[in-house]
Amino acid sequence: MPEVISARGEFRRGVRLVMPVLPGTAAWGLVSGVAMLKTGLTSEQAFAMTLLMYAGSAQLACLPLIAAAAPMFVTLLTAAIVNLRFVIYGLGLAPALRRESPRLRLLLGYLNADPAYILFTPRYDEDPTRPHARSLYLGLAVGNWVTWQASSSIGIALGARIPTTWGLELAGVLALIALAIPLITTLPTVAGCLAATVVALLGAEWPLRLGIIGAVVAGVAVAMIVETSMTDESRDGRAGGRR
Amino acid sequence: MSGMALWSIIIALSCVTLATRAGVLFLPPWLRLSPRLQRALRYAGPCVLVAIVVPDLLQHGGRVDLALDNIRLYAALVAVAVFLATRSAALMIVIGLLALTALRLIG
Repeated sequence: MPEVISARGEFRRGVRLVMPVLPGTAAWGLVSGVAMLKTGLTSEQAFAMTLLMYAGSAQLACLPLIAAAAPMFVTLLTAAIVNLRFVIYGLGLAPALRRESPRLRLLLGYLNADPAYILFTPRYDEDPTRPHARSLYLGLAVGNWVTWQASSSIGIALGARIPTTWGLELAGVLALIALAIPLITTLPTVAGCLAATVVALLGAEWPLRLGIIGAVVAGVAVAMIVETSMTDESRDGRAGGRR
Repeated sequence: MSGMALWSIIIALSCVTLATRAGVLFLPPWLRLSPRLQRALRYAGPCVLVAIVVPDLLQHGGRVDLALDNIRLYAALVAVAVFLATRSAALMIVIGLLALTALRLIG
């Protein structure tokens, strides 16, 4: 008997698939909630940020800048850079979701989060003709979204009760470190991050907190140079090897 | 920062985030990013994270401060060690905050 694939069934499959990562999402949401409050946002502002922005890493990355009263365009640019991975994710999702109505595409894009993309694309690539890809994606994305909003709300409520002198906004910085370490695996990334660190430290006194932007430009440039020299070496090593 | 300024930054951040996330779904199918540009985009993520985190921890009162009274730095180092050993972000954050609290109470 052929498998009957319904939209509802695919949505449920998505929710089941995302379950194992939800404890991680919940921990992040909790930390973000506390960190937003301890940076000086009111509960209303924190709720609005988590609901409208819905981007844990970008939210946490902006908090030290907001606390330091950095100019708005630097904060916005920083958020955009932290969110750049979503451009890559979007390229992966586009073949599956591009044909939806513009309004729905806006919603599907808003709901995109690391777990949704990471769990969706291998299943979609396995069989792009399988029906109701949108429902599978929605199951993954909505499961993650509900968990995030709930845990963030708990974090905001907790944050309002914790004295600021405890310095627990450090949790947000620690969460960013936990995000960064697994990304720093290849030699170009290590070199790029070192360059970014140096420029960020040297540029800490630059006007308008431009040190951060300079750090990213320097880091990406160094990473690309190291990467290029590595591929050149491997090409010299074995003629006609990689591009 | 005033309430009004915070509200406008929250709204603007939400717009930027939506644009980076949903924007690609609105590009025409024939428009593609070159592999080189895609790799550059990947490197930007870790770079901006260290550029935020490292000065935030190393600098204390406007200058690099490695003295023990910069307790956030030492709590974070403990947390990094925990993360490298266990690969658990949750455990790292809990131990890091406990270390911070212990250092604060000692100091």
